[in-house]
Amino acid sequence: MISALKHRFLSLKTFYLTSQKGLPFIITLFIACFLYGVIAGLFIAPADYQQGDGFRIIYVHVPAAFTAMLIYFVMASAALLTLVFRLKIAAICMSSSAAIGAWFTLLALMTGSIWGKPMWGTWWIWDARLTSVLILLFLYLGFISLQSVITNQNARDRAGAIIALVGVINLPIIHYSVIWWNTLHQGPTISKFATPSIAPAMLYPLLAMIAAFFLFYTIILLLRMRNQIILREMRSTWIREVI
Amino acid sequence: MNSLTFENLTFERNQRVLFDPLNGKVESGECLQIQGANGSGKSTLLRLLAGLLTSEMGEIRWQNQSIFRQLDDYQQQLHYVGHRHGVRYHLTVLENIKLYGEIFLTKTGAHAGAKQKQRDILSRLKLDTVLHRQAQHLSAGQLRRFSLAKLLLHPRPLWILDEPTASLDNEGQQLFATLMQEHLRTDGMAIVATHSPFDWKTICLTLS
Amino acid sequence: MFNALLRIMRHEITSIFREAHAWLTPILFFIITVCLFPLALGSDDPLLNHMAPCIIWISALLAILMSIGNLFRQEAEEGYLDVLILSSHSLTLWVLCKMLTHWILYCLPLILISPLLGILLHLNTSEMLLLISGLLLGTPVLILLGGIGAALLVGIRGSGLLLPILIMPLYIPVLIFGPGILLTYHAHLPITLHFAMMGAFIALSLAFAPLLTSVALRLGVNSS
Repeated sequence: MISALKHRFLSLKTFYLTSQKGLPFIITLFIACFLYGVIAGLFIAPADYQQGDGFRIIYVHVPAAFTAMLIYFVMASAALLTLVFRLKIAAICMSSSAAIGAWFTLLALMTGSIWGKPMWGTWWIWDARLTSVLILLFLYLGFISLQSVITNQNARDRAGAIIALVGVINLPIIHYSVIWWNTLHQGPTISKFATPSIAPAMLYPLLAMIAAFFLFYTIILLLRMRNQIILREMRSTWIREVI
Repeated sequence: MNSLTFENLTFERNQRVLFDPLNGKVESGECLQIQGANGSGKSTLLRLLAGLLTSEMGEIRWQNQSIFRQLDDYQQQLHYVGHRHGVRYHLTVLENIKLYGEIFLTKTGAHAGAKQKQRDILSRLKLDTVLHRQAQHLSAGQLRRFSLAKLLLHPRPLWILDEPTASLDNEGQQLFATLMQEHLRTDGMAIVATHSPFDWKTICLTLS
Repeated sequence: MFNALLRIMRHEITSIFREAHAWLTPILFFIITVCLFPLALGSDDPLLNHMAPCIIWISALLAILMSIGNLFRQEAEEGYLDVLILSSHSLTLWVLCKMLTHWILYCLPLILISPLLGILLHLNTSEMLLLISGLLLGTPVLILLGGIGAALLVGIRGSGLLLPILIMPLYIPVLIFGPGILLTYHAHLPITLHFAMMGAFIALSLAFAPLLTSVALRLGVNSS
């Protein structure tokens, strides 16, 4: 039954053709969310009474960090499917997501740093969230380096899946450990990153930006996956017909 | 009557296939000889057939069933001797064969080959002078001869051998030929990668 | 199974005698690294005392990283790993025995030496006990997780630099709670949480790591 599913719905060919039809729709959705988020966030939302206009970087920083974490969970789910069901589409999804996730993580770190300078006066602070994101970057880089040294595609997929799964099991542990570690070393003064009561005028653009970033990830992911499919299926007949 | 067949078998490395897709069949009493230049993928093919590597391309069937449905059972039916010898370098010859005895258990769970049988095998392989020498101090030919020890220790129908006569002198090659002939005569089958063709009737497969 | 474990241990110890320098290097590295810190930090006693658990833990972690990459190297080179994979015996059990032996040979010396180093860093008896118990709980986790990395990279040339990149993020929880035992103790706060977390880490790692390691070994990452 799994192999029937595999061959009919989850095959690379089905994915390639379906994504071709779906992409324009996703791109439109992305542009809509992004435009709303940027315009509402950068221009319409009122300036924060504490941080002034500097707070607006959260419209990049929070979505980037959020998406980076989300991508890792997508990767880990794909890893599970790769390992257990040997789904090639899952393996392609996992491998293609890694670099995108790494870039989002880097973006989150840089914007976090840029936000930090006016906020705390330093370019870096070892608070729980930034540290978790930094460790997430290392997890991504580890995954990418592992995949880069293995020559056989099959072994590469499965090895990547193992390290991704081990990483995802660790991720909540790391996050919790870092939060605990942070409260110990920073004492009672925890930096209030996201103010708990956030005005709706600020919240909706933020949500829109988070959605926009995730849609952007989806677009790039689909494009990368299509490339991977072409590379992997170079020798088969259907790909030559399509291109 | 055992049979091993493979169809459209090839292996991918760095986005390129190692050799053109291969088809082949071996049955009891037959020896399939794999020939090809260095680096043509002979070792990889043998590892694929032993189930040590998996490939997306091609199928391997033992008794008409894919080996991956029965991997454990299939691997208990074969002996694989790679171009690495499979010995523990820091143990002596005697300790190594005792180790093999513990690894290749018979169906009843007893150790394969009592002490005497192990010594007989070693003397047959002309290794009785170096029983207590560490494997790392053996010559290449002696190591090669020892790597054949497990073939004698525990009879199994399928032998997959990678350059078994490498580093063997004439006497060693004669010894190997005798072992092979005995094996094939008792309904065994073998897949051998080698540079030098054998005298007896074999099917040849050449890798490009 | 107990016989198999003893046999593996005996073989490992025999192999160590052949290459004694490979065994001593991480231990000497540990000692030297710990000694480097006071030289670099100056002999400010309170500071050294406060940093002592971190110094010892990080040096131990680095020493373990030096040796864990070679966990399967010998068997892979000998072709013995193929024999094990093809055999009907449980590879997971073998991996577990291997890791246990590796821990005894490479981590136990570190743990036994750490009190001496603690003296250099002015730790008192109760602090040393806490340090040792932390190391006893934490180093097996480092070995178990490191083994997964070693299995994923078996046979790949130049994997020495890649292994730390792969495993370091996974080591971070242990690095937070291990030295944290002493740091929290200094702050006069309860340390039961730390021991609980370390216990959880060991339980989780024991449950998953040997299995994942044997899956990784069968991948045939090194396809030659």
